Amino acid sequence: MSPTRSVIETEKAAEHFRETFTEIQEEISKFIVGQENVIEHVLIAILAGGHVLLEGVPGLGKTALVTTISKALDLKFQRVQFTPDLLPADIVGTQILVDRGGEKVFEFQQGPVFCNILLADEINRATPKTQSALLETMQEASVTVANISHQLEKPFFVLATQNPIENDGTYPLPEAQLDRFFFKLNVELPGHEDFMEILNRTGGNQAPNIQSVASGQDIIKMGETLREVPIAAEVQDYLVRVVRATHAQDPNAPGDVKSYVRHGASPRGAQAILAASRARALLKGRYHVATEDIAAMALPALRHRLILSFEGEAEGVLTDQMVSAVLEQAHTPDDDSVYSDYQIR
Amino acid sequence: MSSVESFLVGIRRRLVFHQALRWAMGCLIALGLVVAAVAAGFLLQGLTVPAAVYWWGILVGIVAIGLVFVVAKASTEKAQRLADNYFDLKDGVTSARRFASESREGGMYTLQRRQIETALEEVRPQAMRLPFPSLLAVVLAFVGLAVLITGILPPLASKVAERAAEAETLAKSEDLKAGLEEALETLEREITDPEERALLQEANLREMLKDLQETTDLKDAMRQYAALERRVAQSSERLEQRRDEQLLARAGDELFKEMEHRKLADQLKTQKYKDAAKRLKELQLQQPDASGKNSLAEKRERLKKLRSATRRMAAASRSGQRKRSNQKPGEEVSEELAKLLEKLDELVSKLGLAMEDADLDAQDGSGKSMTPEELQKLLEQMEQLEKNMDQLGSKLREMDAKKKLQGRLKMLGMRLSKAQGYLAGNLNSPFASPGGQKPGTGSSESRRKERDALVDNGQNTQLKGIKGIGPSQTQIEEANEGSAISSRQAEEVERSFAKQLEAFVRREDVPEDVKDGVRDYFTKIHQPEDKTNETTN
Repeated sequence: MSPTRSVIETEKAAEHFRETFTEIQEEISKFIVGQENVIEHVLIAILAGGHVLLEGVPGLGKTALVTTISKALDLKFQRVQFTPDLLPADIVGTQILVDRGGEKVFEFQQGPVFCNILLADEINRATPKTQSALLETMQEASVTVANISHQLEKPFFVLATQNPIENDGTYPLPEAQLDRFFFKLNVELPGHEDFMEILNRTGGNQAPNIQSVASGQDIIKMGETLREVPIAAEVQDYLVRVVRATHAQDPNAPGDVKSYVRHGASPRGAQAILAASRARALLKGRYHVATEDIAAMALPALRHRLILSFEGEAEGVLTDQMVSAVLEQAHTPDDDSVYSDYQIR
Repeated sequence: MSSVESFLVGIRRRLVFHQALRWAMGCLIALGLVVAAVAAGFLLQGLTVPAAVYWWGILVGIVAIGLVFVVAKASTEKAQRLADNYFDLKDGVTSARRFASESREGGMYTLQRRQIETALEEVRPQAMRLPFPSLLAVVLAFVGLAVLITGILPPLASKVAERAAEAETLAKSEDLKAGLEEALETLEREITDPEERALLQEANLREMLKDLQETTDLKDAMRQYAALERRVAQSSERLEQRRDEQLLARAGDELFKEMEHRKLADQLKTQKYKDAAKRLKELQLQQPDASGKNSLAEKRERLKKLRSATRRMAAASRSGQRKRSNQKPGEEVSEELAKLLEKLDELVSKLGLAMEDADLDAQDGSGKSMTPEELQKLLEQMEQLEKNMDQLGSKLREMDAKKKLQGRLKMLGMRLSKAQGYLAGNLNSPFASPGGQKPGTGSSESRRKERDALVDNGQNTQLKGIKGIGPSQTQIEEANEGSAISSRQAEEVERSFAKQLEAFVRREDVPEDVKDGVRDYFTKIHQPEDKTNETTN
């Protein structure tokens, strides 16, 4: 962040942010069809420095999306296919004995985590021990092996995928790790037209050529720019009320939340929403965060941070429904009838 | 003032107007409901709604609207939220004001301010169309309609009738009380007899009338007049002297056997007790002179007359005592009058014997006159007789007064009975005599020329048929056999009339002049038949 940046520089930076974002989006869209929303959210998460958990049935292009993003961003990409027999050392790296001029020494062999974009494919198939190996990496962007910390290259993002329907032999991600993910995005089945387009683009001999349109430095610079976007106290108040309302103990929590939610979102969730909202505001051409940005970013940022109660699980309630209920209840900044009366026509 | 602030001033103005409009509508609805409720209250009470209710409503409404437009205000926070929402400024105004208030400048803050100022240049507060409070308007229209209806609707008919009835009852009860007071005053004026006046005072009628209260409640009024009638009836019952009257009537019957006492007998039988008292006074012996000789013969004659009278009356009294021995327990017994009559007879008898002795002394030739002691004894006996006679006369006068007062009280009771009929709406006038004019003085139009029930109409075929069969309800179930014209029905009607007449003249609550009128009426209508019978005979 550069506090001394002039208005013109800031304007240029904002312009750069928007242009670069659009270029990346367009580049990715050359190959990925029908997932514009997911692309936008993944990019926002990357720009905000967060990790993304992509959830969807097999064949929807989750892995293709991540590889395409890595190509478009000209970043070092690594893919790890998580399996039950995968060990932490298989991810973070290990010390190996090497011969250095006749002397045998231990050298740290970097694991696939040493990259800019790590695709953790089917992350829920690895054991909790292996999943936990990612915790430090995701939070601190560093790896500690044999009491020696190894800093990861910046930017670093983990884009994990998981299959929601094949539960046999899977290990649900622990809450602590889930909370490390900036967004959890549901990859939906594309529409009819998009389906047709997918077949057209992938059925032939020629595959779309993805050019890298942004570097890691661009990503870091864009991240600095978005963090400059200001938020008014009134809008921030709305954000806090939304996050607090996900807790059953909060007096403003909706009835459904009180009935079905065991634990609400943490402050980390609020931070994620704020960062994402800033990015969205810039993308929409604004220089301030609006309540609609918060409402738009709340769902991907909160859906994996709510833990349902036994009743909620038994009733088949989705966390998305809870977040929607919270947003509906906290729509107005205060209980002002005038505000609700004069909605936009 | 920045462009954002000036924009908000315009927004606030519109917001204030709109808010005042809503409040004014709310006030008018509340006021309308109050006016409608008040008007409905009047209508439900059976009253016409006073125009002042509506005028006051209009006045208060105008004042309330004025006050609302003065008082209504909207905060800038509301205005900024409204502007952001209405013009889709995405919290731009709110954010710009917040940043300005925190003195945030440079970088994104400056860009944000410029951006929102540019956006506001494209919109005008006047372009903002606030939603018309249609729900309030609809409610207001309904309330206004309700107020209008209350202005048009007539008062509740049942309540109007109820109020009219109450007013009528009040007027009637006032009229009746005034009429009764007047009647009582007339009664007091008419009574000249001191004994009757004293009895009237004892009856305490004035106090009874004072207890009457004017009321709008018909039941209460009826209850009061019924209570007063009962009290008057009780007063009248206290004056009851039927045993004495029966005793005097028997005495009259006995006296009627003596030619010289027939006048007294008539007076006693017709209950003209005051006249009877005078007559008895005439029968009293005069005080003899000092010698007692000159007037003795005359006194003897008068005593003879008196004795025949007292003997008859004492006989009637004794006859009454025999009857009393057979009377049922609890019946009223006239001991005082009976004793008085027997004592009188005894005194007269003794005095007669004394005078006969005196007469025998004079006839046996001894030539001696009565000794002073004898004369004194005779005088004492005469004095005692005179005293007794006075007592009897006084009793008769008292009975006469009671009789008259009882009649007057009964008349008053009838008036009270009529008053209740008048209150209940059965009579048009509170003190009108029943049946219009006196009997026999009706108009020729209303007089019946012949009595249909007594005239043979020739429909004797109705007598034919089998007993208990046939649809006619006028069927005669029993009839004498034969084909002659039946007179059974006429006889039955005649007997019925006769019984009615007898029952009527026996009634004590009917004034004598009415009875006389009825008697005359029946006498007149039977005259031709009687004459025919006489001629035939």
